[in-house]
Amino acid sequence: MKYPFRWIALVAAAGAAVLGVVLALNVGSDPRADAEVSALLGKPAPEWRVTLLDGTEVSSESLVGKTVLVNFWNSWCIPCREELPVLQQWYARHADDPDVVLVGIPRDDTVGAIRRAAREDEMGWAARQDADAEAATLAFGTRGQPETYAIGPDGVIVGSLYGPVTMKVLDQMVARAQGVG
Amino acid sequence: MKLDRRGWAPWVLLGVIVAGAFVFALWPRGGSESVKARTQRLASELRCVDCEGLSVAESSTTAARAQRRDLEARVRDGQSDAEIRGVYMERYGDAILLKPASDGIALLVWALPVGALVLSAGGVGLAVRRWRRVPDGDGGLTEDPATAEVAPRRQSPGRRVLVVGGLVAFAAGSAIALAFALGARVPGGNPTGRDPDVAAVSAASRERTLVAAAEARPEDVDAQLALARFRLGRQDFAGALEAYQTAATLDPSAPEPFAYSGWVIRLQGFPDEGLLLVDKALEVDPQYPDARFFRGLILLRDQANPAAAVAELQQYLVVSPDGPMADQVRNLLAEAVSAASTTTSTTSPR
Repeated sequence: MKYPFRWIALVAAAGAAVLGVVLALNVGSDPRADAEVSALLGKPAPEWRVTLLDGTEVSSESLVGKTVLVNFWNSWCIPCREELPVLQQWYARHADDPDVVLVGIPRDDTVGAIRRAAREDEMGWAARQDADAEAATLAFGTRGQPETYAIGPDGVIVGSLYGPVTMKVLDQMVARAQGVG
Repeated sequence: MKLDRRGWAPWVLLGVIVAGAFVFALWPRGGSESVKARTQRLASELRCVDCEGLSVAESSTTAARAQRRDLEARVRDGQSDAEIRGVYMERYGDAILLKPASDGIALLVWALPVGALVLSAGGVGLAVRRWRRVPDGDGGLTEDPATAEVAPRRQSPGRRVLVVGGLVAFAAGSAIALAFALGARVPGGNPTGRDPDVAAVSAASRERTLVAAAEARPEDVDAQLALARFRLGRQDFAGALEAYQTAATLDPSAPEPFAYSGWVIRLQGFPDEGLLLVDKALEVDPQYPDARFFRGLILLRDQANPAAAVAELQQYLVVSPDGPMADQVRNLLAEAVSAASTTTSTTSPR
């Protein structure tokens, strides 16, 4: 071989090129980067529409001007059951408040199980498990259940929580949505 | 200066290799893809949000299936790849992409390996250029005698190998360090990032291992149960049910396959049918606490029979007072007692 070191350099550079391309094709993002805070926080809430189990239709459009708590839940998730007493208490406390609305959107459950659980637990805020509910779970970018989002009267998401809520968290979310927190 | 064409040949070849590699990497794929193929490709670029190490294309969770339907609808609607990715990034953040975006700070992910490559290639080029000016007695490298006369000193072959090796090590080290620092991983493959919560082995490869073990030992009930538990954890109800039922066939004296088959069937929306299998588990082993828990939950939630649920949940606490579900059972029990006080029960506990 007439130019041995030149060929060594060639092989080295070609190897580096292949390595660079392979790595560039395979690097990925941090899978847990979005595990704490919703990407929608501080942004206008997505459009959504669901039908409550009593037949009432509610939507992002119909609730403009109100403070809305959207809670994603299902009948088999244990943390959802843990937060249920808090939601029941909060719902009862605000039953006569026309400016605040709680909507429970089922996620990953069956029609019958949702209906039964909502009836047994007197969840007047629960929506049907249907295509609209599925679209809402996608629109909010839910990762699991329970998840709760607070939407201000201006339609902006001002709070979100992954996991069971407490009364303190709900009150803080509402206060922030109403500009007093 | 006289050019030696044979001496330049390796550099031309190198240029072709590098250019070809980048053209291959960056060549837009798509064009005449079918709706299904395009949906599949986009799904493979998005991370499953409620499972680990899987793309939307690979996952069988309800959310992933809904996302695939959503992707297909958007593809049929004529949205571009960028528009669809944009919608998902808006909802979930950049981390929904298995590969980082190629703008803003994320551009560094792509630019730094290329930078390391260019630096190392440049270094190799400079080193070789310097060697060409130095006569080393092999009769082949000196092409410019005038330059060679002012060369400061002679480079030994060992030193040259050392320099080339150092440059390659620099390039490889830079790229690998970058990949680790950014949590690099192959979609669907093993995570290599630093996040300690991420399993060392991806869900897909772990399931393949469990399936292989179950197939290799078809009579081993433990292998089937391991596969079933794993699938249940990933909310792959159909897969879990299949493995649990195989385990029940292999060992009809074990309560777990029956109890969990019943639970999975209940999760799929058939509580009455699920309860039959839970009852079967209690026939096999009346002390099996998980079956007591499932039975209590089904009685309370699905059959509106809180009185029977109370007895069942109390039985759980008798046989497993410190069991993993004990706290939850106590909460359910309080709820069932409250409900039973206002409801007339017609179903007797077992």
